[in-house]
Amino acid sequence: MPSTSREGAAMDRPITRRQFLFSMGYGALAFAGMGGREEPVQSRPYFQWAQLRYPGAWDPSPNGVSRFMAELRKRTSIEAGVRKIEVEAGDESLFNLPFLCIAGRGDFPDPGEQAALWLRRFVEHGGFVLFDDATGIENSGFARGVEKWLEKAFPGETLKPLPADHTVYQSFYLLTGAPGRKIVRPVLTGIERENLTPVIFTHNDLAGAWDGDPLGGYANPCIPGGERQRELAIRLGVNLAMYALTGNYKKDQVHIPFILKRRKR
Amino acid sequence: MAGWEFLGASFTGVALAFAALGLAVFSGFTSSRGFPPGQRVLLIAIRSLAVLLAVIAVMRPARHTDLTRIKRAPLAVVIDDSASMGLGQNPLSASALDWLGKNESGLSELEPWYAVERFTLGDPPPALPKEAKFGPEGFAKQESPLSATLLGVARSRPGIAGIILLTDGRENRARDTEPPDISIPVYPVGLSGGDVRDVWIEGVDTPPVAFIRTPAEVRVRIGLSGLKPGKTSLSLYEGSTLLESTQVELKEGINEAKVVFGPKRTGRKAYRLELSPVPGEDSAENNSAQFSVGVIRDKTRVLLVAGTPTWDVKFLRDRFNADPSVDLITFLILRTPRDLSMVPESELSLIPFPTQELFEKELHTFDAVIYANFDYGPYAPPQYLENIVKFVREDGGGFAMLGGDRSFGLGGYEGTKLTEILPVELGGALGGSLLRYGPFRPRLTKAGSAHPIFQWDPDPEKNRELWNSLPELDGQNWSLRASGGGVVLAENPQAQNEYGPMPLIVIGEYGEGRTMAVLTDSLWRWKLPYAARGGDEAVYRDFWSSSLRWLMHDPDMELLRLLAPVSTLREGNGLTLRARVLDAEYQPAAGAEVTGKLTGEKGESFELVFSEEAPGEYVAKEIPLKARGIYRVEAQAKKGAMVLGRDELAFPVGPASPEPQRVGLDKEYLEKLAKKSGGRVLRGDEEGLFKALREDGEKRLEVVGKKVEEPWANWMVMLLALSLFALDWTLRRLYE
Repeated sequence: MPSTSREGAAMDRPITRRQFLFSMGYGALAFAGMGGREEPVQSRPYFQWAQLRYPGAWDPSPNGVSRFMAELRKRTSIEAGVRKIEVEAGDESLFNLPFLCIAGRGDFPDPGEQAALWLRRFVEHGGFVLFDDATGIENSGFARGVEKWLEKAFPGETLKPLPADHTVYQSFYLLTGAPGRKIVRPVLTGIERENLTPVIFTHNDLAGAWDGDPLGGYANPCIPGGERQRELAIRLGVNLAMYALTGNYKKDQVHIPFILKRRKR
Repeated sequence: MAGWEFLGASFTGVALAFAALGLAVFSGFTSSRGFPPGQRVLLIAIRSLAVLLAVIAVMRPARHTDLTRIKRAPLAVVIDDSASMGLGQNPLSASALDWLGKNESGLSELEPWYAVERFTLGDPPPALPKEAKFGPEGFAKQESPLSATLLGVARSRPGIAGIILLTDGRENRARDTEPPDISIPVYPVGLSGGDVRDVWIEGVDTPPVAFIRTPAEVRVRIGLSGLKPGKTSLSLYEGSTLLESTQVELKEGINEAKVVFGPKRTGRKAYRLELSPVPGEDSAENNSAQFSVGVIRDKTRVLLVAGTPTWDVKFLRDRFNADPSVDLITFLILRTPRDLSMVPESELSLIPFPTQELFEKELHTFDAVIYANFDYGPYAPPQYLENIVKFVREDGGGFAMLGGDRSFGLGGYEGTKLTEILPVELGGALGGSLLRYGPFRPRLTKAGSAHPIFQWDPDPEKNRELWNSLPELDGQNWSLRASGGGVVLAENPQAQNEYGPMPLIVIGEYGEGRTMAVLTDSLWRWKLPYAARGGDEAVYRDFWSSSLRWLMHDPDMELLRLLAPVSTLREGNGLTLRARVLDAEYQPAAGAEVTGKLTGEKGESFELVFSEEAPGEYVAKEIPLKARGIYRVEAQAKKGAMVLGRDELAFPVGPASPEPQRVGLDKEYLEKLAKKSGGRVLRGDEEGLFKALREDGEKRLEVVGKKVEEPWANWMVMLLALSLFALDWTLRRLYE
């Protein structure tokens, strides 16, 4: 269903007056000549979060995605869906939802050869897969299981650390790391295909940083960086969604001088 | 050459002669034994001498001397008998005739050494009979094939010693303005006169091809003679439309100017250059020049503006980025004025949306603009929409609008200028129904089934299967119907309004350009959902590739193609035009009806009817070209009631004679010609040339025979020999 709701968690770090004015000034520059209608009559959820359901701890942060989708709608022009859509391995309805998240807090049971081919077809024709390891430990059972399955889906290709200038770190926010609820590994890893990285793995329980409790607060503390780390985890989520939707847009020539200038500051 | 030889000599003869001599000496010795030494010596000497004389008589020694004579080489006098020689106040023809008169005797005096022949211009060059008189009326030829004449003379007269050339140096047949490569010395005569007061277009250098909407430079050589240096204007026209006008500063001689223009459409295009007449010039006939240039596409430069990141935009970007013939510039609105992102600019990678740069300054540099779910209101003032309309109507650009929740009626375009070029009518929707959700299976209309955009397989049956195998689309923008000029290619049979099924993919032609409306944001389903389930992923690729090519007027996408005339056309020529026609399956279309109209620059027109020569090949012959200027052909091919295609073509037709185009003495050309060939320009020093020719002629001898003298071939020698033999016999008898 379409949604124009703007609910979501407030930012925990208060913004200074100077930052606020700065931000408004930028907005004025970016959207000079604004006018016309204020709200669209209708909107479509262009970005839906599909998540793989499998036997085991497939949904370690039940409220994380909906909290994040609200942030995505609030912060960007992406019309994001409200809640995640569950899919099972081999389910062809996935092909209507080009973004798939596979998360886990325990072991990742091998979905098998057919499911590996299914994943391969999905990726080869333009789909994007995000793996989120919620275990909070290095070399977890989830990570090992995923690596084995990826070996079947993409023989000879392995997850490699993404370089600091990878588009995913600058697709909306300018980021220097990949924090989640924890910081097990400071960078994302991924599999590259034709100048894009359609498979990305985050080791730091990204959705765990977004997950909320029934009272509107956050369910988990972010270690070691606290609320600043949580904000950066939300920004990383925004960047991942933006990267899935726009690919290497921020590597287009028109963006490069701006990004280099801001990175130097 | 002189020398000796033995006329009776042969191997046997020489051997016998020596044998006889030896025998004589030997017999002289043996037969004189017993004689006193004095008598013996005398007897041997007499016998030897007698035998020697006999041998001489047999061997026939002879003295020979070569007989030679002067070898006459061809020498040509080429007279440029073109009309340009007779132009001007003091025509060069008079000087040429004067030269011929003055040097008649000089040339005649060369006759012992040279076969002097006169030629006029031509290919092959005609030789003038010796007795023929050549007067002022002879300068009437309507072209100057100078290079062809010189090469023809050299070819037809082997061993030719040189060519004396009386010309203004105004070659006007060869495309190359450089003198020909000729290994015979050419002696151009420095004629006097030919002074004209004139400004003329000497030549036009065009690029081999021009690229659409990319500045193309034409270099124009402009001559000025006998007039004061000054300014005049040079204008470039396409048909009657002025494209460019520039002021050119002219001084005596040949001047260079350049005109830069940006072709707007692909195809063979014809243009005309006009120099404003300068007061006092003798002829304005040569103030214009025409040329044609093939205009092609280099890379298709596409501006994609999207109101929000969507899968439709993502897959479209991936498609265009994978196509090396597309240069894609994308602007995605990643944050709207309604979005909250309270972070400093330095922590964001967002850049300003350079609307003014794009829609005011750079718009003309794009071939196509695509609005993908883009609502212009918050970002760009309405006049930018007018710029888009102008870009399509006047610049021949392509424009496509793709659907979504910020597009068409939802993008606030209803009532704006843009509706003038949108191929759909937006009005009439009830509030809240501007976007229809839910899956649907689109249907091709009759026009869509035949349109090249939807020809994904040459086999119509397979093509139909492909279409039927496509997954359902999801979500459609409201529109009423196709607007004037719009053609519905695909529709949604599940959504009806008062005019019938809602249009889904609609195309239209507006002014010079073309537009397309895709009233959904779910065409990406022809990529991921379709291909991942085993569908042919070429469908999505080919749909967008063909759509872009159609928007760009790609000639290869047209079913009718007129072929440009191959040769230079002149006023009075008969034209043959050829057309190639394909049917909807892109196969040669047999039995099509091809008609057209030829329109001259002054509006005169001629109806064309093409006849079929072979399947898909059509020809119209003997089309009269009555006047010079730019001609335009518009043709249409029909099969039954269905229009297969339309095409147009422009080409220049030059004046019947190129002669008045170039007048006066081209001293530079003559100098170059003389130097290149090893000759020199004659400036009143003809006697020097004639003398050198005579000296060379003296050295040119040929052996025509041989004089042979036999000093001893007479009866006296034989008598002496016999007498000596008799003496020898007598003395032997006496001494015994």
